[in-house]
Amino acid sequence: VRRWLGGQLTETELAAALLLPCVLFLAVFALWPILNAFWTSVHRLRLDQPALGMPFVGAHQYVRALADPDARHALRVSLIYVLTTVSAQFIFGLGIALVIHRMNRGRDAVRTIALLPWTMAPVLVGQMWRWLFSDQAGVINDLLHRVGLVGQQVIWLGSPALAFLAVIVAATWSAGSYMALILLAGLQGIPDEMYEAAALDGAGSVQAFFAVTLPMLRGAIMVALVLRTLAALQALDLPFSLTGGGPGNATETFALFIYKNTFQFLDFGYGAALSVVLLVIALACAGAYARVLAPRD
Amino acid sequence: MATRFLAAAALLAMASSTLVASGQSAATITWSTLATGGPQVSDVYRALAQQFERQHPSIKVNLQIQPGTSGEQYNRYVTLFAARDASVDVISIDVIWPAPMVAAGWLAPLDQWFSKERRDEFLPGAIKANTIGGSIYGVPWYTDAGLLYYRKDLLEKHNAKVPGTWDEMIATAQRIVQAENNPQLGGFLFQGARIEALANFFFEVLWSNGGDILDPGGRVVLDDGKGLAALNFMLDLIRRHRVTPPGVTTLPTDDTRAAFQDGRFVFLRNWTYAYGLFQGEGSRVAGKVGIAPLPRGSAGSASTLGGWQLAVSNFSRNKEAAYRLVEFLTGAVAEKAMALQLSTVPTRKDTFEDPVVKQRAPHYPDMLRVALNARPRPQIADYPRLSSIVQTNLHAALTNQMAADEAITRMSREIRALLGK
Repeated sequence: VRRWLGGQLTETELAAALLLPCVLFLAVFALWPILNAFWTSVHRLRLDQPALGMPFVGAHQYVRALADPDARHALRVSLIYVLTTVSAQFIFGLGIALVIHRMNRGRDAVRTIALLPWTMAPVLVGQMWRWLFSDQAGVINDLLHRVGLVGQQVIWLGSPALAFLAVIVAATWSAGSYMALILLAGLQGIPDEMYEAAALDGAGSVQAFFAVTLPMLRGAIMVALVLRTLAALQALDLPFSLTGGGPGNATETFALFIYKNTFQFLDFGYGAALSVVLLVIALACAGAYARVLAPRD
Repeated sequence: MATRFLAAAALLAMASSTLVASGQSAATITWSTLATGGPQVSDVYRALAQQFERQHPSIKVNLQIQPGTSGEQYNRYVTLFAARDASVDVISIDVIWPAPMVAAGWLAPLDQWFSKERRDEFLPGAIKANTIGGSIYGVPWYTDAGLLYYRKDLLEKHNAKVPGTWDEMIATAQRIVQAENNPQLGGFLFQGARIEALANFFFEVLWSNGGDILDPGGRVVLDDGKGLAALNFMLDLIRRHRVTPPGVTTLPTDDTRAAFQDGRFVFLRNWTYAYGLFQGEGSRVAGKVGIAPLPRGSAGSASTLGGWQLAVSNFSRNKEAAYRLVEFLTGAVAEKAMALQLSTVPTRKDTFEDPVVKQRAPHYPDMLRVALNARPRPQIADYPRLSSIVQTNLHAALTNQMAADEAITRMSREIRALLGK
């Protein structure tokens, strides 16, 4: 004890002492909630029906989730949402990043402006696009009508396919610029000598892009894809405010389905089980990305 | 901060006075309520609470006004009561809450104070909504119901009667829209977004044709053919008769109110709150709007009962004093004040007969006719989930994701599964 008070710590002890606050923080705010969710998921807990108590039900909630067609539907919606929005964001983001990267003047200003959509809360993004896509008074219908592309009002949010498209457009607009920023950082880290070497070897710009740019971007791409995939898996706020999961339940993502069961039906046991399922899926996705995209030495 | 300090001080005062004296100490009753309509509404509530305090010097009222929607307020109370919190004595509750809240054991039965004779002073539908298993758990405060709004000016111009049946309404809407030849004018609007009111309109059509979700014994009878007929009727409004635009599936309650207020429709199904706004400043239809009961089907006219009740928390430590406040707020004086100042529809029969109310609010007799017809939604503990099942499948059918018969079959199956648990 005297040695500690005198500040005579070994390197390991110092590391442990410095890490302790962080570990404690994670334990309280990350680990404990996860364990608690798991604990809740093996019980029946209806907040609005306290007479039921909180009996242990084992794997019942998980069996129920597997058998629930609405849960399967929501999962399917989420997977399509992840695939479409993340690829659209990647293409859109890479495009923006390449344009900004080649700019000689005003790069900082453009970069800041391009990042603006990302600074907007997803709930507001959803609300804004809801107005834009409104069939009665929306700007999009008005523009299409003015250029003569549509004869009558398109009911964007009243048709399953169009509503899904609206969600994808809004999500891509919102997070594409964030993707661009990460990819831009990666692009700026590629030394010019690589391109010079490629040019000396007779590579054209397209060849250089596939032989130099993409491989060198591997790390940045992985970070961007992992972050966006995990965020898209949890997508709640944007579809919530844009479509509310509708029409019917055509755009009801898994996270919205969890929200509905937990906070609208107050079925905490089932909601917790669904959250654990989502956690497992998210971990599997992250693991798969790490395996596929990790730099190979 | 100040309120918390005051509340703490009040608690201290209560505790010390209970220690010192007995019986005559001042009790503090906390009344928690949602205030839809902003400061104008909360000012009226505050004035009523002060009036009550003057009449009952031994009782102090601590008024807590919450913003938001009915659903948010419900979840607030659920978290409060799930923790067996005793800080609230009187709460205002939506008409669909008594069943789940009573099942949870959160509301105090009021039978010992709210006698059968006194119950007769109120509209029967509103009393029924508060009666569960033979006991009464809430006193109707103000009521609401689905109504048919119509454009008086257009009906007069085209020499049309106020439609009594759904068929008449469709024919009248078609005739007026065609004659007006105005691309901005539509026939009829209901709340077609996936919200509670969509389920309510479906119930209204279903009931008006003699159908129901559950029979009196609680069995699901939705798939006896009448459910399908009701859904087909809704689809026909859009596809066959073309009196309702397909975009209706994106319109929640207040958007339909705004569209009608903008002069874009001949008929509208909505709640009573819209009337005041239609007649208010800046409305394009001020003075041109009439109200009527929803049109009749083969079994008459039916509308969904809405409205708010006052109830006493089962965790309250002062239930009798709490009931006195409820009694005052649902008494003739308070209901008249609210009717005159807030245009709320009273639940007391005598308020409708009041000469001042009659003079200042000539539309109330029409509203009373509707309110008398109003029926409560299925009274089951898990109503929110039942409603969600109905909304989702209706919306899927209205947006062409599934056929009408499939939607009804799924709805019935899911409700059976829900009740079977």
